[in-house]
Amino acid sequence: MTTSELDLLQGTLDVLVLRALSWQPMHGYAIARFIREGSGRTFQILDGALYTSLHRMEEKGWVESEWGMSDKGKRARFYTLTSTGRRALKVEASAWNRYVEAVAGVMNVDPEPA
Amino acid sequence: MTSGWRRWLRIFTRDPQADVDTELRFHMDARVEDLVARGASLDDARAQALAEFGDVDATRERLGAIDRRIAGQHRRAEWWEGIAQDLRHTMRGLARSPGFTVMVVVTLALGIGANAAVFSVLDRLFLTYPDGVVHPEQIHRMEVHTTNRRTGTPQVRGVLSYPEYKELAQALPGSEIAGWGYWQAHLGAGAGAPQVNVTQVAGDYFGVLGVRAAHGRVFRADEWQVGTITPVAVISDAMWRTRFGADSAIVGKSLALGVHEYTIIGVAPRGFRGTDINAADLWVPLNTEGSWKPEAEHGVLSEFTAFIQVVLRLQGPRDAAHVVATGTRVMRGSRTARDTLATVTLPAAAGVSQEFIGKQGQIAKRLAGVAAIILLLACANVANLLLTRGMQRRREIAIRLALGVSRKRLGLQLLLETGVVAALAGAAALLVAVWGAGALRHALLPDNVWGSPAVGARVAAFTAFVAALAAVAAGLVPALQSASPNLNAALKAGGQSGATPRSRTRSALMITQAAFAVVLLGGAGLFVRSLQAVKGIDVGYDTSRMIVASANYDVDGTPPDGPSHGQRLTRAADLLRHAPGVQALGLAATPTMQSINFETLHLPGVDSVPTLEGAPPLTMFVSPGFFEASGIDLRAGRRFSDGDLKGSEPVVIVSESMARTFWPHDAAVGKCVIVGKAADPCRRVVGVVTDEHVVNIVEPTMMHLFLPLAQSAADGRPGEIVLRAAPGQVAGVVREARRELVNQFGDAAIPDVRAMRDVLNPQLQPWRLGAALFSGAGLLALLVAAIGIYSAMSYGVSLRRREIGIRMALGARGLSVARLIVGQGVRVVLVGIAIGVVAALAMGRLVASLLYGVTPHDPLVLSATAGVLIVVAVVACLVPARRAARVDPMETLRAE
Repeated sequence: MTTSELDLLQGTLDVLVLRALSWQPMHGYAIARFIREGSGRTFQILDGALYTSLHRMEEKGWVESEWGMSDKGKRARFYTLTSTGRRALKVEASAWNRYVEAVAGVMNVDPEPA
Repeated sequence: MTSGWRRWLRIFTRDPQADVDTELRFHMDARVEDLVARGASLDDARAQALAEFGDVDATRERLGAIDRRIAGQHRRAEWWEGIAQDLRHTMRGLARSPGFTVMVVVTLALGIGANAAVFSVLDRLFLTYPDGVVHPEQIHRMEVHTTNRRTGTPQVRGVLSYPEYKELAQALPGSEIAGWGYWQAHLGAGAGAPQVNVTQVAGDYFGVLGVRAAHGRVFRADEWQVGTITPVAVISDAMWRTRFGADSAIVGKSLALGVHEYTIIGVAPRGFRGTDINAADLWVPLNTEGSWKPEAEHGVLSEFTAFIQVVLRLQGPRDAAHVVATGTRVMRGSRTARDTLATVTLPAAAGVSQEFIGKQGQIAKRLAGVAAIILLLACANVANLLLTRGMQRRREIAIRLALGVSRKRLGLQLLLETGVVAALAGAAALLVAVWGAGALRHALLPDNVWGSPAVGARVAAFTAFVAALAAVAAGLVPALQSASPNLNAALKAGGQSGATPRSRTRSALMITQAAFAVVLLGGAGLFVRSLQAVKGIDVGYDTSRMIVASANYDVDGTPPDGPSHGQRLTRAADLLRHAPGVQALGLAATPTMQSINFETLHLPGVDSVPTLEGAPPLTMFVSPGFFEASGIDLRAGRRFSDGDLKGSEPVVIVSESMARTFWPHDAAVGKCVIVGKAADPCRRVVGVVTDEHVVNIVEPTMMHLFLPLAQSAADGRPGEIVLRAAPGQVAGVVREARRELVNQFGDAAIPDVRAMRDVLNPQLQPWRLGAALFSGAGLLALLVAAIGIYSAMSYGVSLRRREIGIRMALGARGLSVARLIVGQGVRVVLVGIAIGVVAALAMGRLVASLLYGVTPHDPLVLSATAGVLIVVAVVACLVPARRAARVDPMETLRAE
């Protein structure tokens, strides 16, 4: 994956990760599984990009991380949404919804008769 | 700890990269496990997991970099959190002991405030460029350095005569040089006309400074040419607002200076108050009345009157070299400089020329040193208080150290405490500075209009800087000492330590305070003795009940019609002669002690008349009654009488020094002096009177020659009435004389009636000022030192209670214990006094130039100072000593 592809994806990926964390704290693998399955395997997101997104958002203060035990009793890094992150999710989600509506609107217009 | 940083601390104490590796390994293991659970082979599962991940190494590095940044963020947050915590702790601690806090804040605020106040004045006097000028750093003054031919002492003058200025201005580009003179004028005429500071300009003054008018315009070339008579004025923004209510239609309105009308052509921009320390109210071209004739031989525009200061704009060193060369050439050729070795320097135009504030400027500079010493004393006191407090908190500190707080952190906390106190003190010091700088400005230059607030951004910055210095100076040693107590000893002793480990530091502080107190108090003594000496000078006149009265025209015009100035003054004198309270009255042609006049003299049969230290006798034309009114005593012969008229025998009266110098072997009375041309008739000496001072209280003796006013060439035209009031009647006679002058002159002139005391008072001002300021500083230092000695001694006693208790249990009497304590305290102070005396002797030459009639090594002053300090030290030690003498041995020993 090149940097430009990553940047292009970054915004979208951030929203998906924030959305995943909005229910409960999760470790990185659980988030990857959530996105893969939640999208019906539509997205082919590289796990490396997902971790990059997580750590960048931690740097921005949108998520916090803490070490805990996974279901299978292994040490895993769990991520929690911060209040800043929750606000960011709202903003990004509404922007995303507007974008989707706009695209859908254009797609559904019938061409005017010439 | 409620916030999250402790948790982060736990995570990030390890290497962030290792955490990333653990996290990624967990991801891979979980993915492979999942895939294998769904039936994939282990190898396939691994391959798929890797493929789904992307570039593992690049991601690993990227995540490591991000996490290292996050770790940094958390470390910084933790640091600030720690500071905030320490700050809260400090605030609580200070609030718990308000007495200590107030004491320290007030002590430091006085010390810092004194420095800020002195800085405010010095900054304005010496360091600040004129406001509102374009590239002020390019603006320079000119100073002419010559050597006095009589005394050989170097002289500096910052003013040029008009011919000197003209020659210089013609040799330089007009964009580089302009001249200005100071003129204190009255707005309108009459007795109640308010005074205004006027700057008279020659050349393109505003253009050189780069100042444009805010309204209207500045002078045009045809207006500032000297010789053209164009009564136009540019007024200051302050004057525009206060006198004209910020009238937007001001341009074209007129304004009267004395009897002369000016047209206002513009308003200067806000903030520009001219190039003088005394803020200008308005600017007019030089010689707008045309009354100064350039060709008049002794007129204002002649080479004998130096009053023009120059402003120069220098673009670079080549400009400067050129101007210096030109200026030096002009000055060496000048008739008035009369010095072929004259040199010219171009100091930056920051502040005011030393020449104009003289002694006051020197006093202000010395005060900076005094303020610094007071601050050091204050710091020493605060350090002492902090040490004492540190000792009281030894147990608390030991417990915190035992709990694992690092010594460095603890030391920083203690320094932070000082920092907080210093910040509070700095804020309070600004108040001290506002008040102090105002008072100092008024004390130094009472009549000056400063045109800017005493405390601005520069003073505030300086205050903050000094406060930070004070925090370090006062807090460093206590912080270092308090943070390193002997843990076991402090914990075991239970807060009542037996030994006195810090006594050396306290002794050093006591010695320092005593030494500084000696220096400042000794300095004060020298200034007080100088003032006494100056006050004791006999100026020859009896100034106690002498009153001088004159009427001055604002501009040297004459009243429009009616009697002449001399006639009006004479009529006023005739009416006043019999007014109540007037004991004697005389007239003089020129103002007493405010003017200098020489006449050419000849002695029959002698080639050149004798001089006293190079100076010929001064001449005064006076009427009968003058000597009685001015209190000049007759030594031989007679005074002038009503019979000494124009047609009668020409006579003179000489002063004692003139009699001694001219006729060392004979009596002067009856001798002949020729005044004027050698062929003129002999004037017979009819009397000898005591010597008088010419213009200054402090000046070398000069010879005087008195001529009858009625026999003067100017037909006896008087310039001043001299009156002698009956005891207790001075104020009444002043009022009466002023009333009579108003009667005679009306609105045509401004009456100037003053007690001679008040005329000479400004001359005493610098001496009084030195005595007052340095005495204040000396007393403050003494007080601070006394408090320092007291607190150090009483703390020492409280630490030694156990030892004293044991001594007393072993049979020592209370009195001998008290004697021991006082003896120890005084011994330490004596060391300080000795150091202080040596320092005072060494520093004496710094103030020598400001003293009169006393050497800086005056043994009386130094021994008196030492005596005062010993007494103060004994008193300061007595209270702690009494406490020591009352120690109950049983109680102390039981307390262990």
